[in-house]
Amino acid sequence: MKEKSHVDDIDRSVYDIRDEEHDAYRIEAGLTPEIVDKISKEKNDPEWMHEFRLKSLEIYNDMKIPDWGPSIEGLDMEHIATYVRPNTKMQGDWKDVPQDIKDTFERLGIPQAERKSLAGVGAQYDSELVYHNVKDEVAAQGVIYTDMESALKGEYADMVHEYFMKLVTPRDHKFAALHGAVWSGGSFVYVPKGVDVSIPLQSYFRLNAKGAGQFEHTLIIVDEGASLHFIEGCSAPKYNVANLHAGCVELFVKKDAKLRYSTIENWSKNMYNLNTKRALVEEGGTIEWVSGSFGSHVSYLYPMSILKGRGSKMEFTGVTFAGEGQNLDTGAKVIHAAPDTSSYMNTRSISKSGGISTFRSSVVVQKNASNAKSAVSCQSLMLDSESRSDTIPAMDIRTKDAAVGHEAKIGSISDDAVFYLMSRGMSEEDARALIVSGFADNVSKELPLEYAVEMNNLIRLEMKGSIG
Amino acid sequence: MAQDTILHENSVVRLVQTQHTEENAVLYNEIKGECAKGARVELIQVFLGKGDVYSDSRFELSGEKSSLKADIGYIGQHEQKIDINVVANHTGRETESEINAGGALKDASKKIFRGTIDFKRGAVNAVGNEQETVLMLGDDVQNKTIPLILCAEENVVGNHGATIGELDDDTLFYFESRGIDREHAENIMARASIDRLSRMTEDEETQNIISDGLKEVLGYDE
Repeated sequence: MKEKSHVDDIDRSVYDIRDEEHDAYRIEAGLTPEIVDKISKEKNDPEWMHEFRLKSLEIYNDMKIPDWGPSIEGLDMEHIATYVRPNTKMQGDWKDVPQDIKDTFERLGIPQAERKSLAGVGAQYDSELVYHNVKDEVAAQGVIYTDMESALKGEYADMVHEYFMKLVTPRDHKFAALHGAVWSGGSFVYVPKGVDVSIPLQSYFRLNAKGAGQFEHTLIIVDEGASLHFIEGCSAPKYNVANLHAGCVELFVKKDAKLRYSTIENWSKNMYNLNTKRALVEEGGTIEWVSGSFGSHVSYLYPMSILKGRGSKMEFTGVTFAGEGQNLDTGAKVIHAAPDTSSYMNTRSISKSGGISTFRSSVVVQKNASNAKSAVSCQSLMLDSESRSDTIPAMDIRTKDAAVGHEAKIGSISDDAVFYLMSRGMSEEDARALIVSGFADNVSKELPLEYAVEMNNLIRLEMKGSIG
Repeated sequence: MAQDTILHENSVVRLVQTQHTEENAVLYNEIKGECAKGARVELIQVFLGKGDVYSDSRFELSGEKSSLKADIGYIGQHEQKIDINVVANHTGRETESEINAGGALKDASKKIFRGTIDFKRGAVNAVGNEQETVLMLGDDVQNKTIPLILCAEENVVGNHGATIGELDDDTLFYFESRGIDREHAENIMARASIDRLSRMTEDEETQNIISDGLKEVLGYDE
């Protein structure tokens, strides 16, 4: 009798270390106009932002909870603290960050990565940035990489006002409205015309506080002919109460610019990850998404690209690993709104130990998008029959001058492939391990080496099997 | 129009529907089928009318080694709406489903095709495939394709694919190098997607009905 192959859960020991909470300020749980007022006052918002928050709260209260995806019944906003300020101001020198927070980020490898391979780092702890730094040579190119609060009040205030939540408006969905009401932290990046940032910038988001939410806002503008690789990482220790992440990412890719946005998401399994990401791409511009989703209890995550300019391009590469207690609803959306645009989605999903993985995609080709081209490829691997894997792609094509292709495959580890490898001298364990790790290779090969190693650590697969 | 079908052990049913709705008419078509061990449903549907079509077909593949083969063709024209839904629920072991849809959209016609292959837990060694090919011919056409695979069983294989667009350059070059212009080439390809189904019916009278319908819709008689 064939013994079941065993794939271990992701090793979370590094991510699950909790710090004691020494918050400087923790707002009471719940969501009321008074709470939003307090957050706004704490953050010393300009008046327009204060009004924006209150308006967003009204929209939030008017909107219904989505009824088409994984259940979020376990999420009760009455028990979520929407703002937790750590006991430190944002530092520009790593030495000045408090020891316990510093230890956490060092365990996660953030300062080491900054020294080795990054042009700049932002580290957010709960609701606020605790560290932000950009290398001198990158700053000398005119690249702005700062926390959102500084950008909101400093010399880029007008730019922030012009772009903030214009791409993802609070009316987009209920949790976009929530974000508009209580957002805090996140990064602002501006890359001037023609500047090629040759090494990546990274923001890392750590939520340590129990029963809290993190609502960071990332706003990136890559001006004409410029290019950037931005990396986002996130993690949290596990608690027995719900935590919430409802961040928002708005990316503006100008004419002939290029942006690669990579994410390794590793929230704890009590996290509701209701994040919204969107890019607006102008003529000749390119957006590339690389996305690894490993953590959280429930995820709704569909980065969206609007190809507004002629000849703009989008590429999405993703892997989702759903284990015990996880329901990860992930995918991507693209709207072709101009001629000669192209998009390509390539995803892998793995489900095990009762995990549920859903791939959901939307390709819309508008009537004016003549000569648009789109291809979607998604593959799902089921590692046992307790799990579930669904594929829900939608294509809405409104011009005859388009070429749209889609292919999907769901299956288990192929016995033929195992046999083939074993006939060439591999053990069954090695053969199965090779097949599963190769399955997720589409994402790891798109990441910088250090992050590919982190991802491979996340999918630490121990295979055991024999044929009797 | 509704059709309930219960297939007993090792029985085979071939259901052929050719539908030619009049302009401004609306057709509601519902088919339900349940298959016992070894039973097989072969569904052939051809939609060539001018009126709106709403077609819903659901099959329970509950018996071991039961199977479904659905072949669906359509030509949309004028401002017609075509809404087709096909569901194959795999609950039995070693069940098979194959759903092939294809056709052409002219003028300002709109079409939605939803195909669902649902592997329920226990459908060990089930196989499901679905494919749709849509030829877009009109300047104002709209096509929506939503091919779903839902899977709660490890030992299954499910595939779906879709190709949507106008004639590709290679095909067009092939036709043009033989003196056939674009319009005629598109017509040949649209006709081919229906002719394939016509041949599958293996019934001369039905083939004549389909041929007459094609003449009316496409205007050519090859």
